[in-house]
Amino acid sequence: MNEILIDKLAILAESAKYDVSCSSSGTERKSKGKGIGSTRSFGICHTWAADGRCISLLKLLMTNNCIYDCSYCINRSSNDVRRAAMTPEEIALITIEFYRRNYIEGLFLSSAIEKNPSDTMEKMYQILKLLRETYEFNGYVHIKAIPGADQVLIEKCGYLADRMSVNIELPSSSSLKLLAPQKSFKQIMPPIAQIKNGIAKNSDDRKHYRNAPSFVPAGQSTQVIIGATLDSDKSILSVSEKLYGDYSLKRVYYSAYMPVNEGTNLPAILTPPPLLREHRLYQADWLLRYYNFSVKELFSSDESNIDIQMDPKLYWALKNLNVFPLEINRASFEELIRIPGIGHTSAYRIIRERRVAHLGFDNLKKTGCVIGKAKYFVTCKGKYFGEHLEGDFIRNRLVHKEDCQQISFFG
Amino acid sequence: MDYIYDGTFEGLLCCLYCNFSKESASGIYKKEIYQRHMLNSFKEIPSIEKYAYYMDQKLKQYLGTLVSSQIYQCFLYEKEGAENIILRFVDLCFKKGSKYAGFHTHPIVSAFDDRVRKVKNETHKYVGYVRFSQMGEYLYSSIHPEYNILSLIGDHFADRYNGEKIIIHDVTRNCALVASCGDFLLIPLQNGDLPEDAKSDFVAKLWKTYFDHIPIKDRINPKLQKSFVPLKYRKDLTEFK
Repeated sequence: MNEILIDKLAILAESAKYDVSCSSSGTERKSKGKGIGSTRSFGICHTWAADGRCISLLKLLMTNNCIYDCSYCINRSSNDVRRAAMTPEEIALITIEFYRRNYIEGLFLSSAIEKNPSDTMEKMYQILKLLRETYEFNGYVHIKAIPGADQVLIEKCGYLADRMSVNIELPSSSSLKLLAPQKSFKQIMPPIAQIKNGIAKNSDDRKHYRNAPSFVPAGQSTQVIIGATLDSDKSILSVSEKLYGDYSLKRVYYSAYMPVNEGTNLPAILTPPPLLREHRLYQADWLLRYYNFSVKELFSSDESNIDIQMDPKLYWALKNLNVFPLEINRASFEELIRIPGIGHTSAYRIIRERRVAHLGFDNLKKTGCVIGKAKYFVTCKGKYFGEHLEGDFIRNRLVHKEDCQQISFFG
Repeated sequence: MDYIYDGTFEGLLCCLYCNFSKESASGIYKKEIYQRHMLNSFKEIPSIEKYAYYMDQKLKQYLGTLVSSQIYQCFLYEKEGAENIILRFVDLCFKKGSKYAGFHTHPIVSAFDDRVRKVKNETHKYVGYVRFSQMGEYLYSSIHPEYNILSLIGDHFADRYNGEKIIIHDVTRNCALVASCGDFLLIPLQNGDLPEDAKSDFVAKLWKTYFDHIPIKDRINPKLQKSFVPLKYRKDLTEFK
């Protein structure tokens, strides 16, 4: 029995690993007297796996036995892989025991579709109910909303989970048709809209009734595969921008496609995964969410891909050199965070320090910003320390350096 | 004049109190490690609750709750004369105004910030790194933190493991955090109080299986992993044993 459980866990973890989302942040909840667990708004990583990705949640598929045949997926029905399924009791018990030993922050539950979407959603609901009601588990739970499942089931799950997500997988309907002909945007978008409306309604309810149960308090997220199709960075980021804006998503995750299957519409099996491109997309995504950039600003009219040699903020700065140099002692917070090499932390520090003293170049060095980048775009007490304010010159200086850094980062 | 104190935070607050109300101190040292010096005179400051409370209130009043909690965090750094760093920092802020607490590039403030950051980072890490194993009716965990962070993680674990009885044992300082029903206590431990046993736990085996199967083979990157989980933390982590 025990050996079988270990085997099943190995198979289901193996099948779940291509899902990237692993955050446990976004809700702060104290324990509730009885039972076990709490959630922290900052999220807690418990360990890091050999590929350098953090393990915060127990990431599992309920089953990897799937009726769909999406060409990019390791678990597609035509693949010959080992199949397994866990019962709701087994999953709940493993989650609780891991949680008691402080191995994890909670559960990330996903599943393949064994019969039909509603049946899978029903089983996920059972696990949630078991955890929340029988075990009185109060920790973090992230579950997948299955497109095509009954709306009532999705809503019921939303009241028990912290975060829900629906994977868009591919950024355009044409690529979806190419690689996952059984899925379509018509099927994927309704649950996203439903959860968005549910959250909006719930936050209104909670203003009037203090004890109204919260609905998906940590918001929803999604995931996009990159590199499996020819979609450009611009179209991917435009989709993200729309999701952040119109659907108030918390996160869009990008997953560099690992060639796991052979297929006529897929990259060859030996194609290296576009890790650097994934990294650049994440950087651009941060610019959209925290630095008030828009997709339109990041791409000049004729380009549709990010220059992977440099980070997108530097790329933007080199295109808009007329804005620079900025005087560090006068620039506003919004201007400061647009300078390459200065992020939120150093911008806050600079502003706090300006209340006490005028900042010189030596002070700027100590604020924790990346001085090697920032010096080309700022003046300190009216003095410029970057030799030339000229696009090609700065590009030569910085891009060469970045190449070296990148090798060590992924090496 | 050097001040020496008993090594408690209250003692340190009393030293700060005397520094401002009586004679200014040239340095504050723990009693057991203080080395007498020919040229410096020294005075032992007793821990008096009234003065400590008064000083604590003044710190909160002038510097705010955030900075006064940072002073406590800096105290937990324990090494390289953390007391003197606090003394100079508080002195600077009281003389020049509380906004100097935000003057991050000032050498005194940056030394203070640096210690606070290290302690805070380790506290956050240990919230994730503590690993329990079942020992009778207790959940027991042993850790080897660099700084004395037990009191900072207490609230989190006491709240999370409300219905359980837990012990977190700081092996380097031989001190333990004991929590149940939402409250926690810090107690010193004698050697041999706890059995150092490692029973083979089925759940630990499951966890190791999970840990071995979750990485993506094409992305294996030990260097990146090492930057997140430095080797010094690994001896207490079940999955690396």
